Amino acid sequence: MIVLPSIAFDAFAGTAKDVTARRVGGRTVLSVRATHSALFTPAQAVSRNRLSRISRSYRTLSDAERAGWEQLAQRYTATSSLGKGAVLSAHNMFVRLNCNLVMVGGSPITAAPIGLDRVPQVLLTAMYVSSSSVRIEGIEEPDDDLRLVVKMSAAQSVGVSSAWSKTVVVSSSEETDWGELDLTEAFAEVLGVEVEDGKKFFVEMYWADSRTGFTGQVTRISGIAGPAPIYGGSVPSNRAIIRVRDYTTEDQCVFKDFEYELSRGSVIGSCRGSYGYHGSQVNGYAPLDPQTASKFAEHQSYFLARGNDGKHWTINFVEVEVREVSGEPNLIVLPELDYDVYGCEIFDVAAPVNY
Amino acid sequence: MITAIGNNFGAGPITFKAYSSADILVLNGQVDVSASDPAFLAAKELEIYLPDQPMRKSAETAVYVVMRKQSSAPFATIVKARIRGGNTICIEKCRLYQYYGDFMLVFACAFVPRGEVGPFTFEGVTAVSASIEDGEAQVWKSNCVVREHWVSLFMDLNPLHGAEEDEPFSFEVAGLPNDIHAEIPIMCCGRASVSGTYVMLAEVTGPRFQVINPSYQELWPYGTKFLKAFFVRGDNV
Repeated sequence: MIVLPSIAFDAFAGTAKDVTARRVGGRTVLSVRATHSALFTPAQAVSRNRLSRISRSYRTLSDAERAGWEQLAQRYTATSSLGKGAVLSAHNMFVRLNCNLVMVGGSPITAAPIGLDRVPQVLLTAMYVSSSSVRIEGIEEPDDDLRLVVKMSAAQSVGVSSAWSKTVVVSSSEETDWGELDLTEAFAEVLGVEVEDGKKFFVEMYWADSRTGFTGQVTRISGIAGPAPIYGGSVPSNRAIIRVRDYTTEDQCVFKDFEYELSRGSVIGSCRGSYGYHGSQVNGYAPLDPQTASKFAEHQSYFLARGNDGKHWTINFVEVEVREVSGEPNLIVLPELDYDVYGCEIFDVAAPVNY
Repeated sequence: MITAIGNNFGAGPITFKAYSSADILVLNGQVDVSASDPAFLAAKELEIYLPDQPMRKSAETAVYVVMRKQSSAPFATIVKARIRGGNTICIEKCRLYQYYGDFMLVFACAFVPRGEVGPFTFEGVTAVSASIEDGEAQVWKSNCVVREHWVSLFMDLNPLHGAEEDEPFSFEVAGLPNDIHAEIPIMCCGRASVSGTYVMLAEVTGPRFQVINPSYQELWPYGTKFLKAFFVRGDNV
């Protein structure tokens, strides 16, 4: 026989079947046990495993550690800024912060963080959602230890006014690329489809502290996918940057994760990535799209390069040029590697000059 | 000058000649590192703690690591370094210490931020030429930018050697200002090994380069030499 909780008894507490009664703030609260949908994605499966693993690990804490979490939960309740303080148990606090930490690539903590960190809200200048790219620009990075968490919904019809409950995490642990975040691949990977222009998308984002697990206020953006940004200005980023992710020339020169960018304050170029070739030492030509090339005058600079092909530690140099070849703009790498070094890693800063 | 507040690898007091702004941080200086220090062995990457700087974080730049084998010229490699949190220089830990022990970090580099938007204006190049009283010094390629607070110099020289084998020699580089001073390595091509590149150390004072330790056998006087360095000008703070 199952005894069901009754509202006739003020002091009733306990669980029967899927209903739990507990005393909160002098009142009896009944809640129904949450159940997972039978259908879930691999990402959700990972998330649920993480949640249960962290939840179970609370039992292994020492008394002193539990006391720390209880104190933190009490302070968190008292300092809630949303009118009435949110009631959070020590266990919930432990699970919430550790889930956040793991999500952003941090390590779980057993000791409660000291104090309540104020995590700022996300500030950005523009967000683009289109079939060609999903990216955020002009993100103000307040702290090196904060990670941007971005959640997005799948495509919704234009008439939908709220789909915030349907957002899923598409990016959580990466640092931004100096204020920019390209989510094109992440969106397709997590949602399983690419963005469809003309459909409506809902985006949530917030900072998470990779040391403590605390999160900031959520920034919400929604809009219809297309060439125009769903938030902010219509002027695209004016960074003078050339990216060559993985490119092999006809001469078998290989650019990998190659990035060349200009900085202000007298123009300084920073260069990183790897460059190599098979056989004889030859120059590498990577064609540039006109929009990228328009940000660069023709110039040259010299960067140090460390041998990475059998001669791991040699110091070499490469000449990097941006100029037209047969009427087409190119990034050109002219290697000056030592006699039997066939590849190099570049990570240097130099002052480029005009021709 | 910038005096470091501390470090995580057991080095003594560290002082750099420096020019620091939100757009660029140029450092000149050397740091001796004991490869047997427990703090060094425990460190995953080397950190030098500075007073707060205007630049919060930087792109990676190259710092020289100069090592010595017994009875030979010094040899060097480069490691990645960056500014983190506005007050920490993070330096990649070079594995070669496992074979050669103590080493010296040589800073003749610039740190710059990324993610900035234009407008960008390129610098004019300053023409440089090398001269030597006894020996040979000829600039093959060069790239020199002289600014109010710093100088950027790249030179590819062939040949570069003194009159006598194994004897210190000096040469002059016309075009450089008088208010720079640093010690930098000059890389000697054609004598690379898995351990790095043989180098000559040169003390730069204005346009004068005093080469301290040429070694005929390892440095191959008739091979190409090159150097690349940022220099802080004057008594910048």
